[in-house]
Amino acid sequence: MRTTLLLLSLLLLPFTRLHAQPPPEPGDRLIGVWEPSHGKARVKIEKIGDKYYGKIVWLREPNDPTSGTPKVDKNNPDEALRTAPLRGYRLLKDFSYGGNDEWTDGTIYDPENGSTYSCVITLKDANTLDIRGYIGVKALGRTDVWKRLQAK
Amino acid sequence: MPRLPLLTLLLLVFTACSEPERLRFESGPIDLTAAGPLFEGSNTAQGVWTTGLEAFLTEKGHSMSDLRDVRLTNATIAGADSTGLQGIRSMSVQWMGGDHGMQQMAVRNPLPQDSTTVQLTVADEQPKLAELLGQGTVTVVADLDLDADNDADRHVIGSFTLELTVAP
Repeated sequence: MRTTLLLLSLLLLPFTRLHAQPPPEPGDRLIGVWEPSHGKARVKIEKIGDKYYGKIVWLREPNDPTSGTPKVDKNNPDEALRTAPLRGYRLLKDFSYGGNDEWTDGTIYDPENGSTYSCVITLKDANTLDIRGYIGVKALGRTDVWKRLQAK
Repeated sequence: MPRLPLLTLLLLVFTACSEPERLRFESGPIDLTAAGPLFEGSNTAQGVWTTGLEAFLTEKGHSMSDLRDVRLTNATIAGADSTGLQGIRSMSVQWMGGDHGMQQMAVRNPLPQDSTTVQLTVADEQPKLAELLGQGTVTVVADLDLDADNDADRHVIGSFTLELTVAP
């Protein structure tokens, strides 16, 4: 009897573990590696706490053509932080999922000029994002299309 | 007319007495963990710092409402075990919490080879730190740039020194 119970428990264990995992939240569809339309970088979006953040994980040209050393955040408005490596830099910060495939209240940083813009992210389909950066009024912003690196 | 020097003197005494006080506040060691598997390149380590700021101020005879300014003056990262900071090429540290967005606080690039403890360069711009620390908990995020893949978790210890400016 004890052997049967033990066997039954072992058989049921994988199903118990499967059900113990919390279901993925709708906002987590943003998580993954994405490529902006210029193709010069790849950005990994991850979740920290209940918000979403994206950092550069790949650069087509990782080294500065002048110095030959890895690129750094040389345009950061804070001079003390200009030695931060560009590979690993967090471009997207503080996005909250607001429903309807839209993530809001975040910012996007442009390392080419050191400016930070308000930003809204919209999931157009499982593998396409609209990233809209703007100052003040959303209607006056600019949208870039990002593609998921490993298509779902 | 003879009252003028007396008034000036009183004003000087009053000004001297109302100089804000500066206090040194230490975070103590904060365990920052990057959950494996880890990959060559940037990996995220994080930990939670329960600041205890309110209790510290109370102990010094102040309250949170006396707090005028908070500045990070020193950020140190140490290895948590015998491997030290081996294999970490660079690192940057961010703080966040509650409604306060992620803020880059310190960076070190490159790290000296085979170091066990490093001091990071601290940001010049540090807006709204009093609000962030006043919330009681701060999530500390460290981006570790690793030189190789690694299956195991990686632990480092963050320690921070802050200067608090409080009303007398």
